[in-house]
Amino acid sequence: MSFPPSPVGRAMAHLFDYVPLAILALAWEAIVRGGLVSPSVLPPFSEVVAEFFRLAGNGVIFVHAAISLRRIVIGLALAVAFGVTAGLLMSAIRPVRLVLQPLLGLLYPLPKSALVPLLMLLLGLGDSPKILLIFIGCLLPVVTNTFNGARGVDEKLMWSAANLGASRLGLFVIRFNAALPDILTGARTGVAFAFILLINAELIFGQDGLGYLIASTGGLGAYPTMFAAVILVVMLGFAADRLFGFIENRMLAWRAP
Amino acid sequence: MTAQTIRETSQASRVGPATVGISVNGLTHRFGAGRQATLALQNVQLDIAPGEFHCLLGPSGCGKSTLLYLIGGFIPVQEGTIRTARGAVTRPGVDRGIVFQNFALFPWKTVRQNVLYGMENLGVAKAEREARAADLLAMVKLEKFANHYPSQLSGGMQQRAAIARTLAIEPDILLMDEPFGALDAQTRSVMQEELISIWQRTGKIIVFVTHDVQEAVLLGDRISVMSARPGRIETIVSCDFNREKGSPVRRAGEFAEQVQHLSALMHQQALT
Repeated sequence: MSFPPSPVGRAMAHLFDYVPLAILALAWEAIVRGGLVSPSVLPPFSEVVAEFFRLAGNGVIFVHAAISLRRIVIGLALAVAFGVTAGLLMSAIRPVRLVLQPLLGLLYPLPKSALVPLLMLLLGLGDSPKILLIFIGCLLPVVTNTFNGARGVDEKLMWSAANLGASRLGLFVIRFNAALPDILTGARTGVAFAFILLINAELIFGQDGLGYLIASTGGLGAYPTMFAAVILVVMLGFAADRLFGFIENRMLAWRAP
Repeated sequence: MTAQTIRETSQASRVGPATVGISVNGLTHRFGAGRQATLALQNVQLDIAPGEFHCLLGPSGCGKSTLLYLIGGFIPVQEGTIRTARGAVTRPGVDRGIVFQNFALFPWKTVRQNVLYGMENLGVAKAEREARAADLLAMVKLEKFANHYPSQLSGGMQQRAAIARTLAIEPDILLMDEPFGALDAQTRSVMQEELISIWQRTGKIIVFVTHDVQEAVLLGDRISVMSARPGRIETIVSCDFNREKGSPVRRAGEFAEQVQHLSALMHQQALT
C-alpha cells in the first residue's frame, strides 16, 4: 500500500501534463512570428486567444456553445439509454441478438457523417437531425461494449447469484453491474463521437452552434474567430472527457486501486 | 425464522429420509456434441451420508469440478440422477451452497453487502439478516472489514468472505471447488482448520474438490479418488482416524500412510 501524494504534489504532477500543450502553443506562435507561415492564413496564437476573450466577453461564443452542448447531451443520453438496454437484451435473449447483430454489423463500417445529407432532407435544418446523428453514431460503441461486457461476465459470478437465490431480474441486475466498467467505456467513446459528429453536421448545414460558427467565420476569412471557436470545441471535448472520467471513477470506486 | 425453529427443522429433515445425504446414480456427462464430444464423467456412482465431509480427489481434467457443478445444479444433468434430501437436482438451489476457487464475490458490493445478498433474496427480515451477517462476519473474523470491497482484501480474507456469504443462506450442503487452491500455504492451513471447525459446529455435508492429496486426507471423512479421460471414481477410501481420539502419534502415522497410499495411486493414474 502506498501513501496518497500530497495535494501540492498532485497539483504539480497534473501541471506537467500540460507542458506539451504549452510547447505546442509556443511553437504555433513562433512559426507565425518567424514568418514560416503567413499570418493571414494562420493567425498567431496570442491573437486567437485575444479574440477568444473578446467573443467570450460579448457572450456570442457561449450562445453557440450552449446550443451545441444541448444537442450532444440529448443525443448521447438517448444513445446510452437505448444502447445499454439493447446490449443487455442481446446478451440475455437469443432472438434479440440474432435480429440486432447483423444490423449493427451493417452500421459499423458506415461513416456516420455520410448520413448528414440524408438526415437533413428527412428532418430539416433544426436540432432533430443533429441529435439523431449523434444518437446513431454513439449507439454503436455503447451497444457493442455493453453486449461484450455483459456476455463476458464471469460465469461463476452468475452461478453464485443463482446459488444465492437471485430471481431472473436479480440475475439481470448482477449482469448489469458486472458489465458496468465496459458500459462506461462505451459511453466514454460515445462522448468523443458525439463531438466529432455534431461539429461535422453543424459545419455542413447549420444555422447555429460551434460548427456553424467555425464554418461561417472561416468562409469569411475571419480566421482568428474561427480558431477561437475551434479551440473552444477542443476544450469542451477535453473537459467532457475528463468529467466522464471523474464520474467513471466514482461509480467504479470498488475497483482494485 | 428464529434460531429455535431452524434447529427444529434441521432436525426434522434429518429424521425424514435419514440415510439420504447426496445420492449420485449412473451419472454420465459429455461436453460438446457428435464426434468432438468428450466424455467428462462416466457412470459415476456415489452416496454421501448426512453430515459427511467428502473429498473429490483427482488430477486436473478428471471431471471432479464437473461433478460438483452437476450436484450444484449449475449444469443440467444429461444421463443418470442426483438426489438430495430435497429430491432430484435440476437447478441451483439455496440448499446447496457453493464456494469457488476464485471466490466470485460481487466486486461492487462490500463484504457485508455480499453476505446480505442471499438473505435479501430469501426475504429474511432486515433486523435478522443484519444480525446474522454480523455473527457470520465475526465467525470468519472479518468484522473489521465489513465495509471493505473485495478488491481491498487479501485472498484468504476474500475466501472467508465467500464462505460467510454461502453460510448466510444456511445450506444443507456445502460444495467447495478447490476453495483454498489460490491461497498461500500458511493461509491455506489456517483456512483448513477453520473449515473443520465450521463443519463440526454446523453438521453440514461438505463436498470438497481438491487435487492435493494431503488436503484430502487431512479434511475428508471419505475420499473419492477419480481418474481422468473418462472421469470415473476409481475407489473410495475412508479416513476414520481424522475423527478418532487416538494418540497423536498413531494418528500421524496413519495420516502419512494414507497420504502415501493415495499418492502412489494418483501417480499410477498419471502414468496410464
